[in-house]
Amino acid sequence: MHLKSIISTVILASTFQYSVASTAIPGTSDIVRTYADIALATYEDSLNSAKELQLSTNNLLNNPTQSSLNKARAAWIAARVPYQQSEVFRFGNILVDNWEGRVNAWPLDEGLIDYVDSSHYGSESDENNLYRANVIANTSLRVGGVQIDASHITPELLSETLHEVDGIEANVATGYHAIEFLLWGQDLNGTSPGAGNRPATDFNLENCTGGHCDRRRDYLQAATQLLITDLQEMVDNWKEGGEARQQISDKSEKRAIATILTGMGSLAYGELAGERTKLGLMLHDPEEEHDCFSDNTHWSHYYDAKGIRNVYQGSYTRIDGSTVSGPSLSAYVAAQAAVANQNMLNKLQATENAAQKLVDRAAQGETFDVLIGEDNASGNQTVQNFVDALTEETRAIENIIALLQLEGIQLEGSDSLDNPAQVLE
Amino acid sequence: MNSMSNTLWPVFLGISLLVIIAGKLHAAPTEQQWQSLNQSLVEEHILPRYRVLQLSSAKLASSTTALCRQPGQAQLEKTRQAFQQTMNAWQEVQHIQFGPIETLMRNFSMQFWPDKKNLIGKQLNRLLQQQDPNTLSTDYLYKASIGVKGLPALERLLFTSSLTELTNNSYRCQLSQAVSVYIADNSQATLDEWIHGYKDSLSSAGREESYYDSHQEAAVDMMKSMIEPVEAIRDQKILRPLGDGKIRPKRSESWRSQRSLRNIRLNIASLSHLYSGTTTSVDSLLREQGRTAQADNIITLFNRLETQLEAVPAPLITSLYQPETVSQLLQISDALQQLDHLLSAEMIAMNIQLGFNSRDGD
Repeated sequence: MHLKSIISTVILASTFQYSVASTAIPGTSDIVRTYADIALATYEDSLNSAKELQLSTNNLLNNPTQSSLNKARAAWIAARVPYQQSEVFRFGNILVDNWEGRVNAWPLDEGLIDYVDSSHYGSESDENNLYRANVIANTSLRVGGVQIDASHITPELLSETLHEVDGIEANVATGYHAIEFLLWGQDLNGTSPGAGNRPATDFNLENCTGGHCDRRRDYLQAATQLLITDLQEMVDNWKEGGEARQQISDKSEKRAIATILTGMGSLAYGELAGERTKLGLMLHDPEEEHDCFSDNTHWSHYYDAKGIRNVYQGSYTRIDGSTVSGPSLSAYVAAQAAVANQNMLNKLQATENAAQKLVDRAAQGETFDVLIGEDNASGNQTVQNFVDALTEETRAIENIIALLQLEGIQLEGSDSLDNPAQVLE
Repeated sequence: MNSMSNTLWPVFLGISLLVIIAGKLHAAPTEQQWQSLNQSLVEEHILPRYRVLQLSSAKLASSTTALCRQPGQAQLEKTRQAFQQTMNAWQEVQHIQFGPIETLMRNFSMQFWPDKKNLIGKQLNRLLQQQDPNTLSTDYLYKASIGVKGLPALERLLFTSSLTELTNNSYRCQLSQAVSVYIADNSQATLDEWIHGYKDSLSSAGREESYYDSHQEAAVDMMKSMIEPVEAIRDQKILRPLGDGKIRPKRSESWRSQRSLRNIRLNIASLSHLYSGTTTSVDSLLREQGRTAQADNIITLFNRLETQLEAVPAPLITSLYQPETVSQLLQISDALQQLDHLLSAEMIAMNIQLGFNSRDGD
């Protein structure tokens, strides 16, 4: 933000406060409590919807039909709604960031997990020797001269051995996207409409397609169970007395506020606008979309952005329709810099509108991978508008950080934030 | 804070914020000082580098054109040399990530890297298999993926193709030519827009016609260009190839043209020039603010880094396997982290807020 406007904002805000008998400004501990309560509710909803997903995948395995597969896919999409809203807690909270890679690692070289289409996927990668390891088809793998016994596909094999095996982040063996790949398979439609189209018979023991259906079933069960275990851990972390809640509650006033704002800005800018959206736009590559098998990226982006808004406005609408809310960061900022707060609220709304456009176009058949196609100028523009809205939102957050004098606050919490100097100065 | 009376404390806070901001402004450089710094950096640091990039990329384009017309080992060598010159020029201005280079995603078009999912290889192979003549036009490249139209794609084409593959006016040679022309066009446009427009916008900061509200705001872009690359160089160019104990030389930048180390040396030399090489410089401003000791430390660190980098054996694609090289690089990584901290601390002292950067969230 421009210095000029920063100063005038402060003057305006203080004049405003002087002349109007204001409502009580929330204390930091109240704001942190709201933040932690929303985190808890969001992770509880994520856990509950993952349990629903597990019921659906169990039904699929008991009776693998197109109908039961569709239901499992619908359950996965529903499970993304609360989870994506939790991503705002990842940045700034070291406990969440260290854990996140187990549940939402992306992008992935899916050839590690199951069969892939050669002409589409290619046969090798400069970066990854296990690019086509296909653990579902292979009971043992060779990694850097060491033999790995993969004869039993268990949660432990996935989480302790396979995940990020050989030190390669793209070797994603667990989490939402591994499950997504199992439910949908590769999206072979390029930047044309259509998602992955794995047949239900890939899970059928009698009429197995794709080979090794028994191991594919084991994989789906193990990955779903792991997701539940991992989400339970994060729910516990945000309960009263839980470690994540404790960590942010123990922070000084400025540090706690800085943590919340940093989480918002890091998700909005570097992660969502940059890594997950603009990069895909510039590469025009259908695999550069967050939910690339299911083509659910528009909703994932929408709810990522919504999570930022929840945290700022101190209110979260749960999957059962009830609301968790409390004293908000917005009110705290408003009391000190009313203009900056209003600006932030406007930007959050603008981002939501831009995300809604992605959702609307997807409903018309133009999912994210179609929008980023190299010949889709108007689709490209819709995606660019979302990037621009997030960038403006980030500027509004920076403005607040400047006004609240939070520059140079030491933060820890994510890989990219291990050097606080880089972010908040 | 909670214990304070609800009616009084916002007033108190408003006043104290004003005092703090006013106080900070007083300690920080003046608008005039920022203006002088920006002007020096544009005239003596940025424009000369874009001129060299424009010249070298134009030579590369004509060299590639000549290669396709009359292929021969000598001309291939000459073209590879021209690529090296262009990459030298790019590495010296890679840190400037604002202004015309940002327009139309030119920065990413010049160089998409690191390529963690091997997308350049995949997308380039697709083009080479299809051999569609329509993909050889500038119009096509304009809208094409950043993976196939920049220096890394051209590096693959020039350094992994055999002479035979480039003869008979092959698609491969024509694509090399098209990409090098695209790079030259991009460089030319960037330079032109700096000279006719952006430069004036910077010098007229604060006025209606300028992109910037103040000279200080313009200086923020300059300071980001100096500081953000320090962490990026450390993480991407040094630590990623060291791969947490398992050496991964192919994660090095420009390994196919065997210039990974040279890139880092040029980056650091250029950042050092940005810091202290111009008439008015960040270094001179710090000294005027009375921060001589800090300025001395930064100079010392830059010098140490340049010496340390000189001692590392090239090319990294092979030398990385030597434990001594690894330990040298780890020391360089530490020095870069220290440099990052020192520079960042001075930004606070000079009231520069860098904000979020695009790598947050990685």
